[in-house]
This record gives sequence, structure tokens and C-alpha cells, in this order.
Amino acid sequence: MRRPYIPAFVFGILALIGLAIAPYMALMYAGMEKDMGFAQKIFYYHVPSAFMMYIGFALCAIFSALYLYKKDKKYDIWALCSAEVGLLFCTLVLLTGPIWAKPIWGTWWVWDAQLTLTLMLWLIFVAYMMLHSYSEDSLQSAKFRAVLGIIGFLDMPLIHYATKLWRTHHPEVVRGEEFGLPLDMKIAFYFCVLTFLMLFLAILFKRVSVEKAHDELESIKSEIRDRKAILGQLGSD
Amino acid sequence: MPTFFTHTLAIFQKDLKTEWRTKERLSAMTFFAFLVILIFNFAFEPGSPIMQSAAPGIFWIATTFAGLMGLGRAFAIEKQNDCLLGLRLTPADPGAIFLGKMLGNMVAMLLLEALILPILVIFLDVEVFAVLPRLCVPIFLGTLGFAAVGTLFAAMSMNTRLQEALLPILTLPVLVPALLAAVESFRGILEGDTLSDIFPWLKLGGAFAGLFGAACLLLFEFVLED
Amino acid sequence: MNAIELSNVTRRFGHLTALRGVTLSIPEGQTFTLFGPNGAGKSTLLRIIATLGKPTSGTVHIRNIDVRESPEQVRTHIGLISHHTLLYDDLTARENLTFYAKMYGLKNKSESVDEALLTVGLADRHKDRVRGFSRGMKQRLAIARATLHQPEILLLDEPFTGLDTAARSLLSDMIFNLRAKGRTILLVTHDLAQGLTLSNHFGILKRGELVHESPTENITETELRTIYERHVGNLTQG
Repeated sequence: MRRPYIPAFVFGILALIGLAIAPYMALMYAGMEKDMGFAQKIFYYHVPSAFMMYIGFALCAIFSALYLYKKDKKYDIWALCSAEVGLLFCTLVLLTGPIWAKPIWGTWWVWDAQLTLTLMLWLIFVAYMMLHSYSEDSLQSAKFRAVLGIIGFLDMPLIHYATKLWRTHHPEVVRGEEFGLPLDMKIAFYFCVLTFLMLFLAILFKRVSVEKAHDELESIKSEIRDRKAILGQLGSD
Repeated sequence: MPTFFTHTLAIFQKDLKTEWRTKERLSAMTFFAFLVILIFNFAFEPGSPIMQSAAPGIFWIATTFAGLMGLGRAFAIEKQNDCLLGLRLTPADPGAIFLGKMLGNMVAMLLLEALILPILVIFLDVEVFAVLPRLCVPIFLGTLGFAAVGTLFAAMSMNTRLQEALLPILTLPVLVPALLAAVESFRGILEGDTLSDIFPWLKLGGAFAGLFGAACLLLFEFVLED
Repeated sequence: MNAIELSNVTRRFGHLTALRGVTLSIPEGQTFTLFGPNGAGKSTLLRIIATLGKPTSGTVHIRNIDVRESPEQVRTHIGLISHHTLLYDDLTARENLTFYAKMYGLKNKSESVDEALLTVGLADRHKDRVRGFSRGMKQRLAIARATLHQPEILLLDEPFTGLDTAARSLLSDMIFNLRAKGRTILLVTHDLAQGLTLSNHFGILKRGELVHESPTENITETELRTIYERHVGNLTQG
């Protein structure tokens, strides 16, 4: 097992175990929140997803900078895969958010700072994927994506500040809760964060190994083309 | 370093001269912005209070879309006859090329804004001229941020299959903080706020312009190289 | 001193290897023609010499300056003529040249521009926009643009593409002129006859490798054709 199969496998098993226990931790083990009731349960999936989204986008920016500096293809692969997995969790945040917002705020969508930031990040990284699909050559696409990955990351605090200044509905409770939280909720919450981290790493490593295999295949293909051309040359002589 | 600015200035002057001669970019941008304002008038009740309160937003929507159109043109000029290659063959630093193009875009946008503000006054009946000096600050900051990000992304999108069509998709989400700052400052000033009242927004506009001005200047090199 | 010195230059684009260990020295004053089929890596080689792309491995020296270390300095010694004019259609002939004079940081701009316009025979049209020029006139101005900063080395990337007969003969006259002035010229073309008459040395690039290199002296067009076909394959096919 030359490629990173092993980390993907190990993290995958851990994520599976975690995901099997997580519903129990969230639904049964953690007590019912007084004000929000059952709807608060989504919080055990929603917030860890948001954490993973930030990790994914941050990794993308770091690998993008490394790629521009070193021009090594492997950094581009890591940047692309981090962005993809980050985008996946970003989508999860956007899907689980409204499930919680509807019973609590009485509406699916609110133009709140946190929500708007997530939506903007989602749009930036969808543009990132479009840049990947619509580029004329792969080398240029890698550079352009790296530039956008860095710009998107730099934009994060600014969007956050802007939307917060603009309007905020997100109850501070959600983040304040972590500290004022009863112990059972805290344990359940951190258990879910850990599980999601395992899931994140499993998908990331798997995705990278697939992308690397794809890359290797391409290089073998081009080598075959080269050799065929040489053989053809010899034959015609 | 002085050669850096000589190159910047040379590119800037060249773009201005081209524009002055053809006037095609600015006239297309202004006409387009005018149409956007007009369509807003049809979409909502003309002369209604809704229109007045929406004026800052309409101003920036018109400027943004017309600006995106202008950015596309700015690099189409360089792509014709492979002129960008000519620029890269000179000893000019990529940063100087970026800055020259960015200044050209910025001036085009500032002129556009100067032209559509009166249209806003006439059609939407908003009292702009009394607060004009104050209004210039957020407009300038917003335009600077827009030109920085837009110039970088325009150079990128020119080299993709979608060409200019990709430009708004790349630019708009990134631009959100700058646009919010510009619109909210504009709104505040119309409602009688002083510059210190809207200082948080100005700070945001300034931070965006500063951060992305520097980042795009440094990243442009990677967009140009083979 | 060699004007152009490449040592073991390799250039990869992702999985594509455009140049494989090219070693080449062109002494000052030589006119070197590089032949090769499409996709052989000719343009990539020119772009690396012109500092537009960096070699993946190997070194390139232009007049003993390392391209990787000081590309800006190298660029002042190089002029490039391609089948694109690199000119702004909405500026006049003079404005185009003045712009490039500024970009190259020339000392006496207007004299240089006047002289360049005179050399290519466009002095009387200097106030006209390039848009209205004929293809031949544009090409002449493109040459003026490329030689404005008096580069010792000229790179010509398929300069004859899209030119009519008159413009072609004008261009080859100008190349002879530059050659007589002692400039080093690297010409890339797939036109064997044209390349043979213009140069005193030639090389054949095939799939990123320099497979042949020799003086053009005593070589007839038929012989060149035979050499080319031996390396590259049948001309009619490719």
C-alpha cells in the first residue's frame, strides 16, 4: 500500500465507529435543552460540520500558497481535495442550518452574519470548482485555483466582520453554550467534533489517493504515447 | 524602484490614451449602467420612497455590473495581437503591469460613477450633491477594492474557456464585504451620517482595499507566468 | 562569448514533456534556424530563452546572464518577433513605439523612435493608427518595435505566417540587414527553404530533443529535406 490508503482506512474505521455512536450521544446521552428543545439536537452535527469546513478551506489556502511557491503538483492535489471536502462540509452546514432555524427562528433562512458568511464561502469555492472545470490547461488551472484559494481565505475575516456589522441574529448562545453547557452536552458535542474530524480526514485522504492515482494514470498514459511514437518512428525507418 | 512606477505610469497612460481615442469602453459602461437604473425604475414604482431608499444599492449594482464589463474589455485589448506577451517581454515587473492596468480600470470606474450620480439624482430624486464631498470617501474605497480584485480576476478569466463569463462568478462573492461597506456608507451618508458615524464601514472598505490591493499585486505574477 | 547557451534544458507541463535535455550554444552574430514539426517544442524553447517560462531543470544563459537569476536584465538584450504584431491597434505607430521605449527605459526616446520609424520606412505614416495599416506595414512596425531597444539577440517565432509575398521578401530583407549588423538571430520555422537561405546554422527539434545540428554551408534544399525527413519522417505527412 504505497499511496495513502492506510490513513484513509484507519480514519474511515474510526469515523464509522464514531458515526454509529454519535446519534446515541446526541439524542439520548445529552440532555434536552430547555429553551430550544429537540431542535437543538441538530447542533451536534451542524457545528462540527462548520469546524470541518473551516479546516478544509484553511488547508486549501495553505497548500495553495505552498503550490505557488514550490510548483509541486502534490500540493495542488492537496489544495484541490481540501477545497472539495471543505465544500462538502460547507454544504452540510447550509443544509442543517435551516432545519434548526425553522423551529427556532420560525423561518428557514435569515440573513444573519454566520449564515451569510457560510453562503459566501460556498459561492467562492463553487467558483473555485468552476475554475477547475473550465480552464484550458491543467497547469494554468492549478495556478488560478491557488490564487483564488488564497484570496477566498483572506476574504473570510472581512466577510465575517462585514456581515456582523450588517446584521446578526445568530444567538450568541450557540457559541456561548460551549462554555455554559452542562457536562453531558459538552461531552456529546466534543464527541461529535472528534467523529467529524475523523470523517473529514478519511474523506480527504481517500480523495487525495484517488487524485494521485488519477495523476499517475495520466503520466503512464503519456509515457505510453511517447513510447508508441518512438516505436512508430522505428517501424517507418 | 523608480522604474517600477515609470512602467506603471506608461501602462496607465497608454490605457487612458486608447480609451480617450475610442471612448468605446466608457460609453458602453455608462450606457449599460444607465439601463440598469432604468430597469430598476420599471421593476419598482418610479419615484416611490422604496426607490429612494434603494438608491445606494442601485448605484452600486449599476457600477458593479458596468465595471465588470469594463474589466473584461481592459484585458481584451491586451489579448488582441498578443500585446500582453509584448508587455511581458519588457523588463517591467509583473506588479507594475498589474498596477498600471488597475489604475486604468479605477479611473474608468470613477468616471463612470461621476456620470451616473446625476442620473441617480434625476431619476430617483435623491439629494446627493449636498453630501458629495463626504460621499466621495466610501465611493473611492469601494472602487479601489473592486479594481484590485477585478483586475486580477479579469486576467485569470481571460485564459479560461468561459472567458469574460467567468469574471462575475469569481469576483462577486469575494467582493461582498467591499460592496456592503460601500452601500451601507452611502445609505448612512444620505440619512445624514457624518464620516465618523460610518467609520466602521469605512474601516472595512479601507481594509478590503488595502489587503486585496497588496495581495493581488503579489499574486498577479502567478497569473501571468507560463 | 555565446549569445545563447542552453545546457540540458528540460521543460515539463504537467505530464507533457515539451523539452528533453536540450543543449545548444549559439555564438554571437550567428543566425540559427530551428526546424521541427508542430508540437516539437520550438515555441517552448523560444519562450524559455525570452524568460517567459522557466526551465524545469537545466540552465539557460543569455550573454552570460543566468535567465533564472535576472530575467529583467536578460529581457533588455532580447527582441521577439512573432506572427502576432504585439501592437495596439488604436494607438498610432509613433505612440506604440514611444510606449515600448518607455517600457524598455530608453534614454532618448524620440530619437530612437524616429530612427526606428525611418528604418522600417514608416516615417511618413507615424501619425496614423495601426488599425488602418496593411499586414505588411504592421509587420514592419512590429520589427521596429522588437528592435527599438537595440537588442543583441532576436528571436523570430514563425514570423512569415500569414504574410503575403511582398511582406515576406521585405521581412527576409530585414533579417539579412540585422544579420549584417552582427545581431544574433534565432529563427523558428517549418519553412525549410526560407530557413535555409536566411541562416548560417540550423538545428532540428523533434519531440523535445535536438536531433540534428550543423552549419547550413554547402547544404542544398534537397539535402536539407533529406536530413529533415530522416529525423522527423515524411514531410507530406506531417
